[in-house]
Amino acid sequence: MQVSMKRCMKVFTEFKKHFSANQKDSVLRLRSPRKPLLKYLLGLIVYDTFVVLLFLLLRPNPSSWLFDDRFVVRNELLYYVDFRPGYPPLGKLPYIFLHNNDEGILLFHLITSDVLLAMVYKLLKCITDRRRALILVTTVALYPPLLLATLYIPHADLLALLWLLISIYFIIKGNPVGVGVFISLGFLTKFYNIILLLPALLLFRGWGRVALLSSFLATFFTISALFLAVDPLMYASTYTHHLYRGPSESLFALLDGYFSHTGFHHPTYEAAIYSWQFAALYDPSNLDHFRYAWNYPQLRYVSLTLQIMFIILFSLISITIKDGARMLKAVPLSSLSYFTFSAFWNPLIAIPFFILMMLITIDLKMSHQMLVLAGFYMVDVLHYLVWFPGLFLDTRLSLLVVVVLRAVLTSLTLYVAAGGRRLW
Amino acid sequence: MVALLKALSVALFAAILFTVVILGINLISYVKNDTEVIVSHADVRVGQPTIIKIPHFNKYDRIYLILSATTPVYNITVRPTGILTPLSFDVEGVEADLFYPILLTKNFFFIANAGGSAELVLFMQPKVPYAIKELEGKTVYKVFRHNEDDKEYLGVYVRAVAFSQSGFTQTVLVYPLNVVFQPDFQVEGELRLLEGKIAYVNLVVATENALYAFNVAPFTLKNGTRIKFNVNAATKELFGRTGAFLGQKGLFIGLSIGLHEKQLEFNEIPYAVLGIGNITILNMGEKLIIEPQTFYEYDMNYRLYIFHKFQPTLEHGLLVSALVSQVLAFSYVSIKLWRDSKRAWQDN
Repeated sequence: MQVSMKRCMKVFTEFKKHFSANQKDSVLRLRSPRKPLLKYLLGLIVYDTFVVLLFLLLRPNPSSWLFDDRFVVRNELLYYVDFRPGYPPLGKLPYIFLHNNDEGILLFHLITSDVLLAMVYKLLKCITDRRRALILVTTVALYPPLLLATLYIPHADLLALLWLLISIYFIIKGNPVGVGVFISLGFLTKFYNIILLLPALLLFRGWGRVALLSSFLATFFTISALFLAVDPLMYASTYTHHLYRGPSESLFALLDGYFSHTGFHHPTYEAAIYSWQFAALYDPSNLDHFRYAWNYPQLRYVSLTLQIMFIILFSLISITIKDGARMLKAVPLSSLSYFTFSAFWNPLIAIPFFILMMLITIDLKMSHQMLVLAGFYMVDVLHYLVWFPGLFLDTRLSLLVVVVLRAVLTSLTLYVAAGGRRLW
Repeated sequence: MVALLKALSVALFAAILFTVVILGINLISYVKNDTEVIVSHADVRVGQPTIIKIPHFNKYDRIYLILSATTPVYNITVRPTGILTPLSFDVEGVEADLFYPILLTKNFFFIANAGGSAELVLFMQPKVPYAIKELEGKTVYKVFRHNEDDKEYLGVYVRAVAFSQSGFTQTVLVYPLNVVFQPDFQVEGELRLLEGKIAYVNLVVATENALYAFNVAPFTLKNGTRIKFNVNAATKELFGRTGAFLGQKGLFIGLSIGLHEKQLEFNEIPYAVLGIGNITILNMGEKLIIEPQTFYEYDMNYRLYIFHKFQPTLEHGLLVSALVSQVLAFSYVSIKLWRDSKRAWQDN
């Protein structure tokens, strides 16, 4: 009897242990997704409040950039039919509804940057612990070019970056349809997103590859159908006019002797005609960023060759990687090659560059990674200051300093990230 | 089923290629002939209309006329009325026209409201040695010959129509240069304020990299006063620099005439009339004299572009819708095939 009682007690104790453990698990399962979510939401609310406070303090006037939207509305023109803006439809059309509304622009930017930060966190969580992911997301959130873009600059860069990160996420998850759709959305927002198509196409095999390409095309043609039907040539000009643009704020620009700012120096009528019509009437000049005549045309091809070479190289490297987390470090390298060797740079491009650099350097010790990111922080802030009058250096010299510093920092970072950690 | 889907995907892919090729051929053949250029000239007599004929164009085509900014236009109209709608150039604001070399041209842009032909009727002003541009605010200007003390001056009348946000208007007279500025560089000149009030007259020296402005006539200048100025490498410019332009490639020198709204009494017309005399430029020992000549009869060169605009046809619409439908169908089939292959791989 005693033995059976003992057995019963043992069974009961084990059951109790088991039950309480299960209960704990279930409680954890119930709580764990909710609690952090609330914390993250609270974090985003605090961040948004901080940005709104900055907006109220600085009173920026982002809608002043939207001169083309005002021109189009005033003259009752249609985008992509009568007038070609500088960005594809997803990058430009949201702003035509906000062209007189600074608060509306801020709200749109805040929503985009909130989702962007959430996406950065989700990606980081795939390869690192929560604490580090949170610190890095905070670093991105306070990154000066991101704050500047949110407050001041109504351009498509934030949205384009969001699509880029979602595409990378789907690459890791092995979903070719998601990759195709989001690269296409990116391409319909800003052009650089298409770079990711090459590593993505190489990574997927068989029908996955076909599904990726077809979903890319289906998204592109569905969204573009109306513009293609009404005036495919004006729509194509949105993309082709970039071929005539000159270099700016890059090593190639400085080597060629162009020391001005992105986008400046362009005539104001060229958007009402096709890009090749404009090219036929407007003589290229080495003063004119918009229809640029290179002093050393070889530089253009050097830049292009380096870009293509490294994009292919990193895409091929990505194929050899099967592990999702390692892939997250390798895939951004192809996009990074495009920015690094581009003849064209502006302070906004620094945002995708910074985030991609962060993904690539995730293997470094936390302190070393923060040091690298702090370096880019400083270079980018200095880059902004170049355009403010009254700086202690003149524009030429400070641009040169910024460009060289960024090149050195990028080379060092990539060297260290590749495994040559002796430097530390 | 899978074999059927594969066959369908091949057929759809072939259809997509076929549609793309036909669309491509149609568009390329259109692009080949989408621009007509007329380079010609017209005899101008100030006070009489000058006619520029535009041959056949289609609805929504763009008509673009380029004149030299040294032959300012007083007025331009279109015959028949309403067939062309002028489109403002000020997308970014007139300040964007500061950039060289568009600074040296005067541009007119129209969108056709209907197909046909038309005439541009221009009332021209005298031809002058300077390209004249409005760079800030909105002004109207007239040029004329002015004689005083047996000397010829270029008379410039500037009236503000709308002041910029900073309260100024700025009209600039530009003379292009192609020199590298040397230490002996100097500009000597003479001007008179004949009527009205100015905020400033600045001599602008433009290089490939920057603009340098030197005040040559202050806002206190009284009517009838004659000013002789000399700007050289030792002269301090408005930002406090001296000789910063030396060694740089020069693009142009300009005389910029500013008006300011706060200088005016209530109901006073914001205008100024200036007489500009000889301007002498010395650089590397070479002397260039810009004489204030005005021509009331002259030969005017112009370039007229007719940019044809694509017009959607039923065939084009059908091709685009066929392409979109084919791509969507192909996408659906390929995604289905991918899912099937993935399921099969997981089952194995």
